[in-house]
Amino acid sequence: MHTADELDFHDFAASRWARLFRIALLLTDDQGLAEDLAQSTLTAVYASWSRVRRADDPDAYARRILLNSHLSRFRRKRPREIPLASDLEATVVGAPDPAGAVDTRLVLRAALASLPPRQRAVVVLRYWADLTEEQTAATLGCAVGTVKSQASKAIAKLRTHPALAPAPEEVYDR
Amino acid sequence: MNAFDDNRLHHALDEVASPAQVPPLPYQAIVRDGARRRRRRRALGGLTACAAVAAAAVLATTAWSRPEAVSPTAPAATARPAPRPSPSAVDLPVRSAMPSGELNGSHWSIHVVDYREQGDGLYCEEWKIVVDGHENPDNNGSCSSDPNDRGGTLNAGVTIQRDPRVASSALLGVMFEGDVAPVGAVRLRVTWAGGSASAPVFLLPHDDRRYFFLAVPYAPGHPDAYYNARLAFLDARGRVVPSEMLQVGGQQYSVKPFVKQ
Repeated sequence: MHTADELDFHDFAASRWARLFRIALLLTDDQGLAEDLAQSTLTAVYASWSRVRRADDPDAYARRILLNSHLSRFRRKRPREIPLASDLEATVVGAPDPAGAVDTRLVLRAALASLPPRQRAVVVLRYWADLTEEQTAATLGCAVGTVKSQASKAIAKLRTHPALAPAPEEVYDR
Repeated sequence: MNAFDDNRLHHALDEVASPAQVPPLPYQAIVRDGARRRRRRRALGGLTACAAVAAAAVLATTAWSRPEAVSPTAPAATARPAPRPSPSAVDLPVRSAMPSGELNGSHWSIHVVDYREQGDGLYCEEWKIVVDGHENPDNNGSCSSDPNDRGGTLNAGVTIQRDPRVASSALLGVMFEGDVAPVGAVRLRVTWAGGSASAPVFLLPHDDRRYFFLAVPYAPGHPDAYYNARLAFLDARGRVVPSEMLQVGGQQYSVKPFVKQ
């Protein structure tokens, strides 16, 4: 790789590393796996850098590599350790954290872990990475309608968790 | 999803992601592995090109002259085999359409809105629930986008409601659906405090996925907004079939219906 390309890639990697790592963390809920996933994504980007840098949206390219790697890894090996619903309820009701933030994090992590991988990916891309439905569909390689339906299902499921459920008056206003 | 939910979810996701310590960028390892990967790909590309050249040379030296006339031959004696369900699916009923039923006095059905052609079959991509002739826009479902993807698609807590534009809208029930029933399962059973129900696992033509749809009525006036449903796949003898999918979440689903008052 030429020096100019090398510098370009370095800038790209340095500026995207934290975001890719955080997306991977929300997808895997595992610090080590997230680091591996973000690193292997940038490795694949480096190997195709001449093509990536010419792409209209290099970020979309990197996101797609990350999601494909994650989903294919998930297909190869399903996770076996998922927090049980009863554990979640105990976490929320049993011993509330004074600040409340830790409880919310735990519940959300467990709620995310209970989603099928594609639904979880849609939630992370749409509601954390703030991608549009079209961008999310392009990243996942599916139709916009599929993104909408997966998001709808995921939200319906997340709403059943106490920390994310709307307050009663908000339910009645619907 | 309304703006309240958007903000709340974004904030909650941020609370998970933001405090995480971002490790230092392993730049040297990325460059080393990336360069190795690129070299390997180029080497493979070179091998492919060499193989193509060699094959062309072999073909050129062994080519035989074209016959003057070509006479038609009879079709091959062995016809292309028709797709057959896997042995584990032999006893499952094949339905020509998605299921429908009655729940709390209303008729519900599944309306497939998007198919995808693959191989010699049509695969369901996306469906909607239709209640009393009205599509509920909030209740879309999607089949697995990849027929080979055996990822769990069991969904608990999908509410079946009338069209929200209908003033008398009320909660009808909860649906469990998916297309990855385990091998050997012929029924899905759900048991809740108020009773039990089951529905057959079935196949769709030209589709080797094992579908299940089971709708459970919601009893108005339930003392608690939350109630638990226990799910189990059963084999032909009524024995519980172990399911990795049902172990996710501990077989116990907390269902909170949305009640419109």
